[in-house]
Amino acid sequence: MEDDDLEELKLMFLEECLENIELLEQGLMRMGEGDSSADTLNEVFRAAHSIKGGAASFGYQPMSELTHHMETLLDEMRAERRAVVESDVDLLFAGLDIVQTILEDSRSGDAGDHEKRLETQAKLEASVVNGSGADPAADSSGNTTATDTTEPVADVAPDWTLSFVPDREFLKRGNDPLLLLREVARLGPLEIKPDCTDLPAWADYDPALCYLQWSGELRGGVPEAEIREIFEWVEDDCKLDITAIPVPDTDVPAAIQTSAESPVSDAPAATGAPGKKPEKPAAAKEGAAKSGGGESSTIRIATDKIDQLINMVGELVITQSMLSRVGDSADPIDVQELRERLADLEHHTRDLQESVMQVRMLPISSAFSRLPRLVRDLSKKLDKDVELVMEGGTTELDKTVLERMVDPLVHLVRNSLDHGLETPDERTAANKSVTGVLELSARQESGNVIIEIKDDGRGINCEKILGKAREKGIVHPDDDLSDDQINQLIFAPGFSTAEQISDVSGRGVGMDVVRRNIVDLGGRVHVHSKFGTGTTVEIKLPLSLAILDGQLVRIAEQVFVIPILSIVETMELAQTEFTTLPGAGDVCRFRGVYLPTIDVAQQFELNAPEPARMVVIVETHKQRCGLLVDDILGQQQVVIKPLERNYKPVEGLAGATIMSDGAVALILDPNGFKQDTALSEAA
Amino acid sequence: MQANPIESKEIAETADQYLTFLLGDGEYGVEILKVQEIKSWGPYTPLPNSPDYLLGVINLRGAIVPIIDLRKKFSLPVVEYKSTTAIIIVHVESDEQVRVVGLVVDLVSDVYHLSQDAIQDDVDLSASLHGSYIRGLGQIDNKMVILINLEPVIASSLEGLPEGALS
Repeated sequence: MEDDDLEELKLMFLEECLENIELLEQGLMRMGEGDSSADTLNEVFRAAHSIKGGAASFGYQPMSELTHHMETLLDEMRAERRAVVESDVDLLFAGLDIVQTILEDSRSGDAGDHEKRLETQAKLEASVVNGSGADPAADSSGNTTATDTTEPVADVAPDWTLSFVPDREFLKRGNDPLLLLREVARLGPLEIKPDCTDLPAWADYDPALCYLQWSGELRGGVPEAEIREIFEWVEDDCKLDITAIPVPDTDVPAAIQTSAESPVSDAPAATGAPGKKPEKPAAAKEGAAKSGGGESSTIRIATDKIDQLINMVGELVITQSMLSRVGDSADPIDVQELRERLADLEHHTRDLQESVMQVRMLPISSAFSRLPRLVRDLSKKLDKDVELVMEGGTTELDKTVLERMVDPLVHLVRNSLDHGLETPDERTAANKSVTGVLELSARQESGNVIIEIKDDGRGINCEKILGKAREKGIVHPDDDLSDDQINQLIFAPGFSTAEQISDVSGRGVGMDVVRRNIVDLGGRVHVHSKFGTGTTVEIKLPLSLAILDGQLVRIAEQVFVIPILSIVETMELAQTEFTTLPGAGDVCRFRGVYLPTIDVAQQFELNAPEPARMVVIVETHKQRCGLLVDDILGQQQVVIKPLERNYKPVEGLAGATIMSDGAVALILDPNGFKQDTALSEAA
Repeated sequence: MQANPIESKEIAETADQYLTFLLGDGEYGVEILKVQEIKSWGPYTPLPNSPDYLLGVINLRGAIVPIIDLRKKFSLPVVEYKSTTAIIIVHVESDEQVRVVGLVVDLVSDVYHLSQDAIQDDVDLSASLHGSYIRGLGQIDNKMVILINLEPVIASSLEGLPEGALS
């Protein structure tokens, strides 16, 4: 039981760490751009400090040691004892990377790269010592333990008497006085005595409560802040008095109550702030929450609880629409009142559904936020001058969609930097400004989210792409493609035109994976490009995975749902060139290209009374293809219910949904069909 | 938590109870503790790419529940669905997950109490195709009730195996 609790706390810590790493990264980015305002420095310092504190209490010694050194350097900057210089920021970035590695390793249970950490740690330390200009710290022994201090102290710190009185409930909050005291003992020679006077009689003794208190003396000229720091995480759970033992030639403040000033150590709510702006709503909010009595403005909820809520609300919506139907068909005179109330109910259920769906939505800035760092690192590596502009960071997207968009976004940004944007020399030669501009924007548009990655680089060379595609057999030599069609070829599997394979991009596994990820999420991707002036990749995503905009179609007397986002066009079969290739399935001609065509009724072994009349062109992993259907019905938003909950996944189906009449309709998965035509094999 | 003696006695008693239903002339029983509810026959949505005994899915208060035609599953002659046709909704653990499945039967019959000694479970049915589906034979007033072993029936259905692959 207690182990479970600890495990849970540990997980929480790891989560918080991620948030703090993000804050740290954003802050460092701003520092790298020359922002050395107190707000930024404080925020970065706090983030590093929180990681350090948490790491120490959960036994991540290496992490806490490393962050300790980062913190020391930051503290110097914060106290304006040193300027914010690029080399230091780079060093901090390096440290951050290692913290991240340690975190990942600890999640996966690996040991981690010890040497690299020590190296960075030593560099950080060296930087503190050299850069500070002041006299090296009194007790800087040069070894790398968590407790050695390199902070220069103006006055000689005195010795201290300590009184540490934990609350009765101290242990219940997962604190261990022994660990804290051990930590204090590492600062300097410590003499400490327990006070057992509060211990009750054996019969009244509750082992879960803490009856002990301690008092003692700490010598060795330790700065008071360092002692307080150890108790920082428990300051609300104990009474701590630190009094200086008078030293003849220094005057230090006497006893300071712990409540007097409280350094912020809570992990702040991580999202919200667009990464590039110096002003920081999240931090401001955090401050407000603090002053308002320490209440947090966010709450962590397991996603499956939210999903359950979303499901239930989905049901409510369906039940409501069934009731409306009943109400509509009843005698209007009898049920006037009922109808009005039903209309109210409809209103409320829709509102409720919207609010509940909102819970899963996160601003896209949380995915954007890691890109500035990427651009910074890459542009240095590639010797390119790049300005990153981000817009629409507040656009909200479902958490799962957002998480799965991070990799594609990273890849597209890499690609733009590597292939799209030119070197300063090339740009000057092409009469462009030396600095390339990479624009990232997000916006909502009719129930979808559109993300655009736009660069003003060299654009796509259609000639080259087409030549390459023909060479690789992706395009038939005789086929005549429009420029737009050629541009989309960059998403074809196994396609890469990079003349030299760099470690940034160019292995040809990238763009088709990007496309695949997006299509898997029910989205679409399209690239617009003009040779010489730039490239824009446009990604269209559904707002949520739980609900989709569906096109209802009839196939062999049964209603099916096709996700609207994957539909390119619908046509009457009679108006297309439709041919059956012997032994290789059907094809239809769509905008000059033959597409494999799937007879859904036949694949599903349904008894179709008459041949299909319509063809729906859909986007799939591999290519577009046509689905034969009997009839196009209305469009409707549907709640997706997985079939594997009680059965198993079925080929060709993305799930099921419940229509307003209570019947189950199946949702087609355009990617799930066997495309066994000659065309798809060629592709 | 200590078990309430009365409560556990009740469970022990219910554990001996079986819900019986008819398929043709035969009367079959399933443990009542695994029965969630009984639904009257109604429209369903056929599922493509599935074995024929898996009729399709129904909407059970928002859950998508597959329904299995037990006549087809047990290779009994097929009859028309009529007003007495019922769907017994059962829940079974399969792949470490509780799954809810509907069983289509001709008629829901009765609930019987069957003590362990009234069940003959040493009948050697291994020669028959559906041997593993049968848990034992119960004797009630000179009437035989075939007690079904739900887990293998459901598991084999959910894997979508054609009948006969399991023997």
